[in-house]
Amino acid sequence: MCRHQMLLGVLLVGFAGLAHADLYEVTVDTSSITGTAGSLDFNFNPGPLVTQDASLQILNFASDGSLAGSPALTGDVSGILPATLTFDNGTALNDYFEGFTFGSTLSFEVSLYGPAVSSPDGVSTSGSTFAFSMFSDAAGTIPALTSDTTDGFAFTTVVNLDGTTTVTPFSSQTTVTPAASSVPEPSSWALIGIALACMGTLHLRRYGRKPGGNL
Amino acid sequence: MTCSANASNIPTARQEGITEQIGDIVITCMGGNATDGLAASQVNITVTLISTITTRLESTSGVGGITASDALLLIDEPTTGCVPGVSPCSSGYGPVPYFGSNAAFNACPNPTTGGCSAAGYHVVGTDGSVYVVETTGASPAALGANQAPNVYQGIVNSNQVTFFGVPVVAPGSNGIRIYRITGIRTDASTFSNGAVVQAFVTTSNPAALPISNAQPIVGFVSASLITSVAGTTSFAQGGSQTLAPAGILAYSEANNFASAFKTRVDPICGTPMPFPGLCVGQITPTGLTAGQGSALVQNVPGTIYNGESGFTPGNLSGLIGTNIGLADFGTRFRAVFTNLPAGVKLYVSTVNVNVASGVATGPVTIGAPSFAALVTGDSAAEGSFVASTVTGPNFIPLVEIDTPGSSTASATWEVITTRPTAIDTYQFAVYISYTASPAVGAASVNLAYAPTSTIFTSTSADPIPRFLDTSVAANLEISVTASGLAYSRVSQTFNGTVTIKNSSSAAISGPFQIVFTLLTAGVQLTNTSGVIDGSPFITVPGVTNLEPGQTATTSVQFKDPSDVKIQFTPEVISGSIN
Repeated sequence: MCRHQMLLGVLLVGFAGLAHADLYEVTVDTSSITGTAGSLDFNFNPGPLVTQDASLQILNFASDGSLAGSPALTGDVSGILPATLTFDNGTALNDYFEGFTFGSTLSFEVSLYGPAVSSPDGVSTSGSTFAFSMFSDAAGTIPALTSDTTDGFAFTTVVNLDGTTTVTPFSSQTTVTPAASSVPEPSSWALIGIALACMGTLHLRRYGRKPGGNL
Repeated sequence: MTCSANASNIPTARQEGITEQIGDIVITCMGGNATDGLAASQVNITVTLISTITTRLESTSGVGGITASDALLLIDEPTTGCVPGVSPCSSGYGPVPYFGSNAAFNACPNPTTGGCSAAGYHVVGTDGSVYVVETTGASPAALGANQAPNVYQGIVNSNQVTFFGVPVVAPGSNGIRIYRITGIRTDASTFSNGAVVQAFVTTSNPAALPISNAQPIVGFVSASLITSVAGTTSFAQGGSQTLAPAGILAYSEANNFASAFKTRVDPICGTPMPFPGLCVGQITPTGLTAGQGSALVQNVPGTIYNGESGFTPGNLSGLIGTNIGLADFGTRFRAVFTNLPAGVKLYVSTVNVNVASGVATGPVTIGAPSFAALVTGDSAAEGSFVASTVTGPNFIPLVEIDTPGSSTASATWEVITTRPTAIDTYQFAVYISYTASPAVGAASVNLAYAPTSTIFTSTSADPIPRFLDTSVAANLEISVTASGLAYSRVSQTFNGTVTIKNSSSAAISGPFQIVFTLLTAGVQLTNTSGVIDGSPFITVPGVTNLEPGQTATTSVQFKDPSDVKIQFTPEVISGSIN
């Protein structure tokens, strides 16, 4: 049975490799505000018309600054930095806000995935939008490192109706770079795990039990 | 005897029209002499146009199986004088009572084989002068006996109409003889805009009937119809709509062509009118009849009748056919809708509507100067009005015109009242309803005169008037999409964009207003351009025109204090909102 699971797992990993997700690497030069007790905001929201499901993850958050802890999470968002944050677009406001004392640099990855990215339905009329903002105050009212003084966004990423994504930067200190290739969606990682577990089990059966067999 | 041909009542012909009336041709003769009782020479008079003649053929054949047409030749303007017992004249009966212009209509029953015999007789008129009258050959008796026939039907052959066997009696020195040719229609669609229609008049015996100036201009051709579709609207697939405004269809007379839209018969009536705003000969969509039926007579030679019908002598004894000269109905407008998404119900107003700020504000009522009503089809018989089954917004009477399973629908309206000296515009409202998840699509509509036809010859079966289909598809829908809404902690607004796209094959004129109807309660559009019918709208900046496939995007900002899901139903209005 496990052999079957392994085969299934390998097969699904193969499919996962085909599943589409857009990955962006974000690097922010925060050296100009090092030591500032500010804040960070991430939100990922649907549009006002018919919106297809989409999700987003913040991965590999790293900085020589320090998180304040006790983040404010609103809507369909889970996780706590520096661990992975996961957003869905099921409610109007899906927001992660946390105090942050800036160091000299800040980086993370943004992964966009889900049906709206991998298999756009062609009938939905709204996309979804991710926005990242930095503030020089803990309350999140004074934009930092952005030319968008009205709304305070450092950059936004829009999931378009055709499944593509578009980044709009507002910060000269922020670099948003598309990753070289697509990555498996998170649901696929579970299947990969199952496959690897089966492979491991089979390996133990084949080799690990030899001593026991001698008993 | 000398004769010259001129045109009178020269109309402007609609370039879209296949059966357009041209002006009367009047041949006026003077001089000569006639021998009393001598049979007059009979000539065939032929009018030739460079375009096909499309005068109606009567379905009843005459002698020899030849079919006569509604084109008529009248001698000496009968009935325009004083006709004893018909139109009493207080100042006497003119030069010769019972003859000439004082005669009643008297049709020659053999128009297809050689006309009717006639002879001239000298008689003394009431003014003491001597005149030559036409008799059947016998001496003119007192009280009008033996008048010669004075109405002849023409025989159409392609671009010619011929009046056979017309007797020619020289009028002598004191009178004139008038041959009026009326009721000729032609296919004006073969002319370019601004062209003139010239006639060529010939006779079979120029010695008996010599005609100078035999090439009169009998018409001017001009494009006449301007159509537009305003208030084009896009609807989101989700949710539902009930009688939501989807567009305003407009039919306007072209500049300097105020008489393009016509009622079936002349809309100018005496006073008092039988019904306010209506004229004898018109029928109303409420079933009131004001002279409608077989008595649609407008029979004064030389009169300008601003109707689809011209000179109409009624059921005159001796003429082949009935209702000679009578059109089948007034000017009609049609709208053909295509590519209707499945699941969408389409409604149109049964009458024209008043429009303000791009919104239909109410129905035009019977009695208004410019009134039109929905009929059952392009060529439906006069009076086939469609009753309203649904009352729409602002008490506009509506009827559903879609057919389940079909992606097309059509509507046809007929002009009931119109102003022949002012530019008229008739506007009709379109509404849609649907429940959840109809098919996606952009409906188009073609606007034109009705009925359209490809029959460009004289026939007995095809309607008059009829028109070339000059319509161009206009789109009823502009698609609307939106981005996601990023939340700004600074402005405390949800920010995004809304994009409109012209999905049709024709350009759509702006400006464009996106109306945010049914916006979620508690949500406020902060960058609104204004409010219409209680809903905020944004004018898409800097866009005056959308070519096919072109898009335009505008930013939107919402206040949403409760973080509820922001939703609205977009509607796009093309045209200015005042």
